[in-house]
Amino acid sequence: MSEKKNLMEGIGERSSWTGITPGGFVYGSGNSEFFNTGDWRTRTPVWKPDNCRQCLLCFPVCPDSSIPVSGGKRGDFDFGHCKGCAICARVCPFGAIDVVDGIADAREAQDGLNGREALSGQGGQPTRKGAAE
Amino acid sequence: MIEIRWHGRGGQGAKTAALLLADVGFSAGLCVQGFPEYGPERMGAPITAYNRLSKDEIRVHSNIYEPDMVVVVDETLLKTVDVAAGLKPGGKLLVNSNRAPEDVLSEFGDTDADVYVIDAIDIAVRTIGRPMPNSPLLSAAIRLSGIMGKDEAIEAMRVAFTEKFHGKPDVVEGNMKAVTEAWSSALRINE
Amino acid sequence: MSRKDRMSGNQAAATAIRQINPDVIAAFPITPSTEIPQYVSSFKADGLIDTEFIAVESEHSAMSACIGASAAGVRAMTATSSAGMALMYEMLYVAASDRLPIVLTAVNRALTGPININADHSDSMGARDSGWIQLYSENAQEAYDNLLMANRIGERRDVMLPVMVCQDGFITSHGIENIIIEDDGEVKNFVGEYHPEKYLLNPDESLAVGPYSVSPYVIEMKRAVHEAMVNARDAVKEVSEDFERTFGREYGFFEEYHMDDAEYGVLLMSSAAGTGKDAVDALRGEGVKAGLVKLRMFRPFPADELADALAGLKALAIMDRSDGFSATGGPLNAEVRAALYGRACAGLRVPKAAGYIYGLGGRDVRVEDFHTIFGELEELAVGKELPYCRYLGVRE
Repeated sequence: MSEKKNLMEGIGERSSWTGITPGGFVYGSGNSEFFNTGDWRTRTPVWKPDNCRQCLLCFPVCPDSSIPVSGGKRGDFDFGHCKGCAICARVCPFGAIDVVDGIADAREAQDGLNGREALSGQGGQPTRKGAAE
Repeated sequence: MIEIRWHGRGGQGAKTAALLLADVGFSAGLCVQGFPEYGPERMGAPITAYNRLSKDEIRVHSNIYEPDMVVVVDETLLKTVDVAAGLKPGGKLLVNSNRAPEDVLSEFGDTDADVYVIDAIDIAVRTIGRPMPNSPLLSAAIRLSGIMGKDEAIEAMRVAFTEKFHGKPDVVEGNMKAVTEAWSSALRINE
Repeated sequence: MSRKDRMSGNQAAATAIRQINPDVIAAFPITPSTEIPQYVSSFKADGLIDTEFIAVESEHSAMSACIGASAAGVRAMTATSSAGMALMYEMLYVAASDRLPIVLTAVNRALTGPININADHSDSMGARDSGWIQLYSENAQEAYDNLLMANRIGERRDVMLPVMVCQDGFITSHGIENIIIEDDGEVKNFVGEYHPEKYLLNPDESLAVGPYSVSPYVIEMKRAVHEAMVNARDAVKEVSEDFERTFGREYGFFEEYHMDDAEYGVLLMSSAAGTGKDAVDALRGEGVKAGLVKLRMFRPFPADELADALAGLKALAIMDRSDGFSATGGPLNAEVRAALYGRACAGLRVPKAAGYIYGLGGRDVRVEDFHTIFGELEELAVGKELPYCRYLGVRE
């Protein structure tokens, strides 16, 4: 994970009209890192390292880049953005990915964000964590 | 202010003549307007174009209903268009025609306009090589409008043609011959 | 040094563009604005400008390309009319919402239905709610001058809105008139350079423009455009004053003609205002206290100033060159009356008013038509009822 600064820090669904950027411009790039969309998930993949042969068929099919690869090997899911689509489980030839109902491990989902501020991009429902604490 | 209305058919150059007359008036230091009445492009359909020439600023943006002069580019329009409509008493009517004066006059009945005729096609064919009547008519119209003398007018038309036919010196020379000859070729046919 | 010249409104607009030398022009031809990109492409071919000329396949693409160029950080301009503007419609709103100071030279032409190529204001009036600043021009000179001011107005940091400079199709776009053209260098100095604060081609700051906005953001973004439009009033004033200092021609939100002691007044925009002035002169010669207000700035709408200017009249004609089909007349009729409402509520004097729809599809407007209107205003002033709005010169 980079140490990128969130240039949109503090701009959100509670900002006043003077507090949002002119034209709604989004400053910075790759801002999805700062947004937890993993909680849209209703099913959760579970990685079983003992079965995994590191064939890496799973990570390129993930639509949300939720399978981190380092040194030629995949690690556990980044649940910050995983939507539970289960495509990874479908392509795995070795039964190394199970899918369970629900956000199986809310703590893990939270960890996926490494404690950064989570803002939902979904309209209407205030899902800003932290703010509710 | 002098107001001039041109009657022609789409493709004959009445609009171009009106725009050139505006150019010439401008070079004489006048305030000018030159504008056609626009519609869909219809070659051969009757069209009108207009000029206003004035020493003072021109603000009015309507068509011209009571002209001081009417120029008829195509005499076949006399059968279908009331070209003299609204012409001011004592106004001038300039008709491009090669017909006998009494023939032309018979088209207007008891007009109190001063009627002038010029065979612009003949002049154009001999000087430009094509039956384009607008340059001879432009020249005659300038003389009848009285806005400037011959030398100044001829020079102003040269400037206007040189700009319009940029890069075609032959065309400029043909048109200059046409306007020089046409300057005094329009003859009054009624008294 | 300025020079006296004569040219059509389209030539005047193209000349302004040549002198502004924008970075990008994206345009698609449509009568009667076609000549403008034609002239500009000739300037480009002759090496007089270094503008990137993008010949697009539609007006939707023209405005889209302008949006892309402006977001990238450069000056972008275009020209259109009528159905062309309608085809840009979606992107007009995007340009305003994205706060991109694009300049559009609009040559007003009736919006199709029935199809027609001549002047009325139905095209730009349809775009009146898009968030564009709108300036209307009486003649070629004003079209030229307004264009020289447009970029600076739109680009002011507290505005950042696109600007539409309108003139009447054919009546001024294709009519040759006298005009004063300013020196290329002086125009360049006046217009200045455009240095946006945020732009896509900045290698040091990455940026996303035009993101989807969920409903918790949209109303705040619109509120910001509203504020920019409030600020645009001051920008128009500031740039117009600098224009007058630089080039000597005065421009306000509107022009008042013999309004000081006027009892009967007409309010309208663009080319017919000149015709109306001739009528005012004639009536003044007969002892009638006639006056005229020519609105230059329709967006933002100078409601308070207009209400003050019109307050002394006994009777007012509000003339729209388009119908809003509200069954109560055109947009000017509605907005001018709304401007007067505040005065009326405060117990202040307001004139009696009559709305007129005129000149649709290029219907000629004559000095005599203004005489008719002023005659009716005199009757209105002494108690005769006039319709809230009606069609001028329509065959009944």
